[in-house]
Amino acid sequence: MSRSACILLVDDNRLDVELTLDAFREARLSNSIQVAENGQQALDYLFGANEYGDRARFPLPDLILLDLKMPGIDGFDVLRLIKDAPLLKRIPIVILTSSREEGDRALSYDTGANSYLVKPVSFTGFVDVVRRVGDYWLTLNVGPPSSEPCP
Amino acid sequence: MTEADVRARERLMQSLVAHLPGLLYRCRHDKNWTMQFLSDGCLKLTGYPPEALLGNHALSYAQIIHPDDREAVADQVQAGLTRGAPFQFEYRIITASGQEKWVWEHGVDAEGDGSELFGFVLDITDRKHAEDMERAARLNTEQALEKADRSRHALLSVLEDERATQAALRESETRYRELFDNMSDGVAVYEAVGQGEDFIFKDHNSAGERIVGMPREEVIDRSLREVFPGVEPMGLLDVFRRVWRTGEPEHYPFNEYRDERLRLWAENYVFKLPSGEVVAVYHDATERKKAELALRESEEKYRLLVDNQTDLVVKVDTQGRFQFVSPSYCRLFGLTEAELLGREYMPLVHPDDRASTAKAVETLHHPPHTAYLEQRAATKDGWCWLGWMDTAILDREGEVISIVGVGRDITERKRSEEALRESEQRYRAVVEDTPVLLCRFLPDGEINYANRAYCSYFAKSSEELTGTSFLEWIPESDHANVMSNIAALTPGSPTRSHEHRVILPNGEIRWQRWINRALFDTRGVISAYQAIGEDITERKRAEQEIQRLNAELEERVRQRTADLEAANKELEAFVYSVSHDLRAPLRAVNGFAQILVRRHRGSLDEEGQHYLDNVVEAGDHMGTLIDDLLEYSRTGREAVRPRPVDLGPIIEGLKSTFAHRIAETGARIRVLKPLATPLGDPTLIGQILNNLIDNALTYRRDEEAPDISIAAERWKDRVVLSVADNGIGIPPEFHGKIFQVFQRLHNQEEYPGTGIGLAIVVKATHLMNGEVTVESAPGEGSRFTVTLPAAQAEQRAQLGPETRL
Repeated sequence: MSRSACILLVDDNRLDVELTLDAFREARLSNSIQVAENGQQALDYLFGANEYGDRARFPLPDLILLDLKMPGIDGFDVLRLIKDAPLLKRIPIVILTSSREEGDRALSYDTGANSYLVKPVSFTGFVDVVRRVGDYWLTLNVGPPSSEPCP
Repeated sequence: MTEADVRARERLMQSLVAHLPGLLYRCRHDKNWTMQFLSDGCLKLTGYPPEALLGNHALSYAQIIHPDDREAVADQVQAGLTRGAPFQFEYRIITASGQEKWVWEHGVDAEGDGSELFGFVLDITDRKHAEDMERAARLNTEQALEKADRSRHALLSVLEDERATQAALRESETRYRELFDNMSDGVAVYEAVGQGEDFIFKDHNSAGERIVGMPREEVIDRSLREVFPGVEPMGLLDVFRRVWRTGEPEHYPFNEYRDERLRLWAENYVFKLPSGEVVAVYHDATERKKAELALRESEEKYRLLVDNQTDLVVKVDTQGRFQFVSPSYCRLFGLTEAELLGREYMPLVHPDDRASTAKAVETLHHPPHTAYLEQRAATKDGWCWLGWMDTAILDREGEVISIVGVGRDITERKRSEEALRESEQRYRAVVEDTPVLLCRFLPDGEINYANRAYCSYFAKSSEELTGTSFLEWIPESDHANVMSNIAALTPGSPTRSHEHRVILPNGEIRWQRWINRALFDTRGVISAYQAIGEDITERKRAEQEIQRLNAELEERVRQRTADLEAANKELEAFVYSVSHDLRAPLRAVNGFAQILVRRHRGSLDEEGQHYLDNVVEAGDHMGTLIDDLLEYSRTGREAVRPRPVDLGPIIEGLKSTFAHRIAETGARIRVLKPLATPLGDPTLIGQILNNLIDNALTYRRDEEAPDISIAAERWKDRVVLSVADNGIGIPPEFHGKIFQVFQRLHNQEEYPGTGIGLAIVVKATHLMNGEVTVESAPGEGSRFTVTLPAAQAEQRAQLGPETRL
């Protein structure tokens, strides 16, 4: 791997974020992980708005882990706007949520999600999921061509 | 009387004899009937002159008699002679021209010793041939001839004496005179005046005196036209003139003579004497005419009988006495003709009908002289109704002389009429008194009958309603509908009902329902309508109320459904938030607790470690609880689409899911094949089996490995799926409770669980129209049975062959 891939984690739950980051550490994935604490922040990051104007510091991610249930702009809004943006639409998006709801699953795939994962309740399960996501999406999967490399 | 007078009279008498109709004879009583004297009438009767027969000169009289009758003639003569009485009989002769004639002969024993006979033969061919006249003629002629016979008998004796003695002219004249006078026929001798303008009576016999009712002295030497002015209109005078002119005798048949004094029917035989005098032999035929009329009447009544064999025929006189009764009449009354004739008919008539009968008979005296009447009469079977067509028989003056009635037994008709009238009255009463509205109306809507209910409904009298149109009561807007309903009636479908509004005289609007029936005439054209109606206002109101309530109810149901849907949405949102919001903090609790266990357990003392383990355990349980709850709520939220479900792969899949626990517990799972194919949803059936197997593995006896058997058998149109174990069993009192959510029989320490598993089984089963039952007792294991609809053969065929074991 010539460079470490960049992951954008979008989740409003601080504890879940911490657990996820811990799980990434546990899984020994040395990726650069950017965190957006809500939908608006995720969009700012992706469209380079406000403090995210510097792509060197905030590069476009190779993978987006997206929670659905968020206050204000929720995961579906973020998903829709990414898929509508020519520069962003090819970025693989993995939904990482607590919901097994049929409606959520259907709408996610319909809007263009590439994968749908339910957060396990146990930490060991969580670590397992994070490891597999990294293995698959960042190692095994051949990503779309990207104009802007991560630093 | 001088010698000359006597001679003149004798010549006259001879001439009379010679010219009398028929034949006078005297003959020997032998087989030839050898003739000794024959009058000149012989030629006219037989076609032979007397000389040909006298002494059998050319032929015998026996030869003239019809061969078939010769023996009878001889027998009749012999019979008469044996009795010592005159003989008379009829037989046929063959004339010189070969013509067959019927003759009547009357004769006597001339000498009293049977050696010689004399008699009189008369031509009766006409009456023999005229069948209609035969009986009358017999009746009449017999009488007449019987009378005449006495005279003729005397005449013959006189002639015989005269011919025998040939001596005394005076005596002869006297005898001729007697003959003349004793003839029953009138004989008058006339002398013509001028060219026959009139005739003068020269002589008149005593029979003539009796017939015309005038003594001889009053007519002698007087003018015929003066004494008998009726002869000219009668036509007899012309006959006299013709005979006087031509000398040809003429027969002038029955004609009526009338003048102021005299009225009679007479038949005349007129001839001219060589001396030029004209003689009229005339016969008073009044009696005969009456007989003839009687015969015609009797013929008439017989014809009636023939024409109306079953009808009753009677003839009564003006006094109401039977003159004739038909056999059918006698039979009906059980009386003989003799018992009835001459009796009055009125006593046979029912007392109540006598007045009307008498009244009807009275009308017969006036044109058209016929009357029809009905009366009850005392027949042998009791009172019978008879219908009579009576006709008066009038005389020439137009006076009723008798009444002929033709009758018929109309009892049956009367009875049915009576029954009909009763029935009509009954129906009328029903129609009038029924609370149902009834009316009849013409095609243009004009009412021609309305019953009491109809009248009182509209508060009108029958008279007020009759002639008005029922459309007047109906609002204009309903007219077209009502009329088109009526117009749709045909002979094939003559009735139809419809509802419409009416406006009552007080302005109230009410609803009516009518059943109309079209009445058709023989040509199939509608002549009128009959309508049965009822007020349905209350019903209409009730209907409208029901409609309103239904609409209201629908609205409420719709509202309730919407509320429920909203509640469901809310519940879903709640479940969603549970799934997300509850799980997230739980995950954090669990996650960080596990991180503590993994990385920091060593830095805690024993008590700290114990509490940390408690946190992890409780967190795990809560996670399971939440997952089970979500599964329960998710069950059936998707539409169930029943399809044949192959149970084999599902069970195999579950075996591998539970592989770890099976190995752990040493459990044995037996699948009893073949497995029937239920109709259901694979996911739901998977959930059912998952929970049942889970329970069987969980609630095991400590000392024993679980022994689980799974079967699916076909029972009629159901599949009975069962999971049986050898576990701890369930006390019967809890069998109802175990299927409820969160109901547990054991604490978490004994047997882990959430109390949701069997609730999911029940919910999933019900969603597939199935039933769940349990058979269990403590220590004897449990058997859960799920009954589901069975897939039909053609549905099972959709599965691959390898799945059907």
